Amino acid sequence: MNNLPAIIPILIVVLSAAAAMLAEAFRQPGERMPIAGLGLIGLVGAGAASYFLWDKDAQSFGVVRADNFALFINIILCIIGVLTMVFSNDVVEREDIPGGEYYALTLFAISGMMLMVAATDLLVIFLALEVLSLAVYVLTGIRRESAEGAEAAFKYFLLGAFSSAFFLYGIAFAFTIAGSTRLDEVGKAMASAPHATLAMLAVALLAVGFAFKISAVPFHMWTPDAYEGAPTIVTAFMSTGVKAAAFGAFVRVFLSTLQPLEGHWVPVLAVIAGATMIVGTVVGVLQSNVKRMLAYSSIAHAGYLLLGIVAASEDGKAAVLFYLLVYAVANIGALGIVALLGTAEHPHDQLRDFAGLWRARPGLAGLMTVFLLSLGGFPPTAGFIGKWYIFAAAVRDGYYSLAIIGVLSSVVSVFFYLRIVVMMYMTEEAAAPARPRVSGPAMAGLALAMLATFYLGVLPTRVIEYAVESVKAIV
Amino acid sequence: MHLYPITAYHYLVLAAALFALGATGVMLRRNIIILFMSIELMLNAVNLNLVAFSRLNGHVVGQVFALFIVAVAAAEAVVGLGILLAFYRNKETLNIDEVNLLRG
Repeated sequence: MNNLPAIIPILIVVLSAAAAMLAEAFRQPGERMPIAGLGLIGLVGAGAASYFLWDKDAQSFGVVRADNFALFINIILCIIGVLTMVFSNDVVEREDIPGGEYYALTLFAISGMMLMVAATDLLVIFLALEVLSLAVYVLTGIRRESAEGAEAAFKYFLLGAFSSAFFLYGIAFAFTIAGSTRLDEVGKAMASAPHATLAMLAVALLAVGFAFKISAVPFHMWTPDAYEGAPTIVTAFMSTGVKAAAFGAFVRVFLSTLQPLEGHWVPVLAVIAGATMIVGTVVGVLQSNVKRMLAYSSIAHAGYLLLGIVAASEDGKAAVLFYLLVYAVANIGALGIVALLGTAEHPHDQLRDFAGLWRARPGLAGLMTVFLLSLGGFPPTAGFIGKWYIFAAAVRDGYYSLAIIGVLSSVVSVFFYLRIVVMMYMTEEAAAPARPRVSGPAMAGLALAMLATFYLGVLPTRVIEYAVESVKAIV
Repeated sequence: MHLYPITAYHYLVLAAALFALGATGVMLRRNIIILFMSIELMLNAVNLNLVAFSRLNGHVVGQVFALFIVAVAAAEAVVGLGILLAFYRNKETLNIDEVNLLRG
């Protein structure tokens, strides 16, 4: 039984996913069942388990390690999951999404994400990556009669499987060098790498695999299509959850295991980070679909996070963790509002759909403004502190040009966030689209996300201290 | 006729050749089913690499890993073909050039 503690949060989420599947199986046709509640229970349980495991450094089977780093991201994932569940309860029926499958797949995806950040073996990282990817591919295309959904799922799947092959080939090379897939062994072998070419290949292929999952340029092509074609609630979930998990594993593999080869991969990642920030922002400005715009914004945010990895001082790593939290809360809030206003017939995802929202729904318009300002990096929201923290780490490590690109691209990105805000407050509503009512729990979820955005923006010290403490676990 | 011993080098080159073939297939072919098959080829190139080095190093880790990859590839094929079916029902084509609803 000593092997179990580290995987308890994951097990709880898996159990709630199984419960969601069972509930769907026992559901009479037409009967309403609060399946989201099951997920909510599981996620709160997993969050509590993560809280109790803090500082315990529990390990399971030699391949899963619930160190503070994994637990910090676990808690981010639980927040993402809870908000997704709360919004889904409103959205699922309206959007014609099959409920049982939707909740089960979402929860299975979360369990994969938790496993991915806690895994200390390349084989387990790969398996977890597949668990979450397969679930998210299906979620993307869960509305089968929608041509856009099917196309989005197809593109995401094809490029995802392609990148998985690269990731695997990288693992195979690491295995060739080290004779093991355990991260510590691989790290030791890499440090004394006798086959420098093989080591380089391994690092490059692993980087391609991760770059795809975090949608870094030039591996970002799937992102806008998948985010636009998927149901909005799924977009909200995957743009935050997949990113948090992939960055967690990215940081663990590159900043601890592959640290000895830093001289080789840091310059490449620096170029990718710069390109990602620029492309995400510049192309984002041209979009008129809000989901697509937020997809490009998420690419730009991947660039900021990569900058944190490049400037990998202690501060840089902690900044990545803090920024993941900040980004998750704001992005799921913004996309959640888009999802809550949409229906299957009228997705409410065009820029002009937001015209006059301030008059029709002042509360939602206000919340949306807060989330967009946080994504744009305005004080006193969390986005400002997150960006400041990352750019400061970059400057301290001497990456001046990247820091300048980062600041400039966030200034430009403010333009497209403010386009939505201007639309909401200053444009008259044209033909009033029937906006559905938002339920109490969903409103409470949004309010919590807003409180978190302000809390992290005004009093960030405590959470930053936790983040700094967490990254110590992986060095 | 001389038979040269097969060394690690040969396995590496063969696997690299298979992987490159698969990657080229994904990028050049237009039929979606063939794209799937090319991805399978890439996965099997990885398997070859793992199994060969597992054997040369005299332990089983790589072979176990290869079994995992086979299982994951099967799961991936299930999901992929399901998505493909949904796509085909909507578009009635398997040509990758017709994947053009979402762009910009």
